[in-house]
Amino acid sequence: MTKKILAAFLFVLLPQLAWADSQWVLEHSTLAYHVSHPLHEANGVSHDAAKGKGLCHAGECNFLVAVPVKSFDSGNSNRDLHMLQVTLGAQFPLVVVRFTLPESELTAATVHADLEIQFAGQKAEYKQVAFQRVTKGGETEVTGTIPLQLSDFKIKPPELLGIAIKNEAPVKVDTTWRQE
Amino acid sequence: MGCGAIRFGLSQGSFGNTVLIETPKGAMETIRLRVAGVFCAFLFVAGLACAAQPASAETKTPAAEVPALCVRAPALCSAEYQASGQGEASPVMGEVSTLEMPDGTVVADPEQASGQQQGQAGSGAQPSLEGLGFPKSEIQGSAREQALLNKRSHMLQIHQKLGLITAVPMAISLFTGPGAKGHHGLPGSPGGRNLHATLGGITTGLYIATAYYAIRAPKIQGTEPRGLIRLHRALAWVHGAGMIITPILGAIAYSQLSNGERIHGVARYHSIAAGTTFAAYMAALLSVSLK
Repeated sequence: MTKKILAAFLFVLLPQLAWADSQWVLEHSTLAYHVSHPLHEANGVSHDAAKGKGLCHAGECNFLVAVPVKSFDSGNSNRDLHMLQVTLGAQFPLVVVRFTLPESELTAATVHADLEIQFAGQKAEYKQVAFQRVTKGGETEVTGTIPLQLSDFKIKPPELLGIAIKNEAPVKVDTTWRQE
Repeated sequence: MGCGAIRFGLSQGSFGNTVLIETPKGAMETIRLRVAGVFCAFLFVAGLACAAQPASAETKTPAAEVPALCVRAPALCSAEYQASGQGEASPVMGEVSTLEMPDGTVVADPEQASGQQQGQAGSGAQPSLEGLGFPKSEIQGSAREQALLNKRSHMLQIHQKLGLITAVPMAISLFTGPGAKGHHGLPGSPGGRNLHATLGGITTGLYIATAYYAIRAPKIQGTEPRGLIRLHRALAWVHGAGMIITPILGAIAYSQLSNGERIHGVARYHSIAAGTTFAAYMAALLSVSLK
């Protein structure tokens, strides 16, 4: 009977012991969107407001990065509030990015990831987005640009003087990750 | 049928074993084994509870809970569930995002919940949104705040359009000013005066409407004005004051000219006030139009 109890005990515990092999934590981040208007070029920057984590298990790593929409600062409070309004930032306060990578690919100089982005209450996928990876000391710097389009998230491009901004709003990503 | 049912079955099984050996071993051992069985069941449930990522009450959905449990302990999932191809999906029930409805209620995002089950097959352990360490206030959306932003943007868009429209009669008023006062200080034609006065009146009316939508637009707490919007607001004090003074001086000048008098006294400053107001107004308009 004792063996049965022990077996049951191990049966329950073993799957939990084999949980995560390694994990990555987002240490620093600078994310910047760029919008274009015939009269304007504007950049909104979010510095160190994003949080992210990656869990590797059985040769596969799942990453999750989230950043508050309101953390983006374009240097103009009126524009930022309008951005918050058109992106439904009060109702959906976070931009959430998920992607899965084979663990072996994490050492490559260029990483191609299929991103699943949740933004403005919508979800869109961006396939094979290229990121450059550089390891400095114990930290890994990952940079790249996400070719975000407003229409992918059903965001109506804001207008100024009756002219709408361009649909393209690329987001530059500069992140530093630490492996634990 | 899912992991919940299997879990229940296993718990029952633990007690079932104690019942089976009760007869040959005696009451004392039965009690001991019962305690061991309860202990095991407790460990089992506690282990699963600890393994699950933290999730707020509103994010837990039955649809998400089943695959989460299956990924943590795949052996516990029923063959039926695994055969459906969902057994390896959505590992973390806390990941189901929430959608806030217009009435303020929060519900799980069905699109994402389904995406977790179908779109991420083959994935292992996944980090959860709650596990990232955001304060709950930053994660939770507010329909009320969104409505406030919507109202603010709507009113400011009207302000912008009316502001552009106002610039037209304002500019024409400026151009028709010389025709109203005539040449060399002598009264001009009544037609010119009346046209100028009418345009001034339209400008004033439109200006008041424009200002109303800016002043009455909801203020967002905790937002400090930054950038050129500060210049836009500062210039509003200049053209705002100008739009009070200019019509008053214009009315005085109109009265003097209508009486066959030359413009004198404070009315002489009507054109200067109008020019300054127009300049400040255009600068305010450009400050938010050009970088």
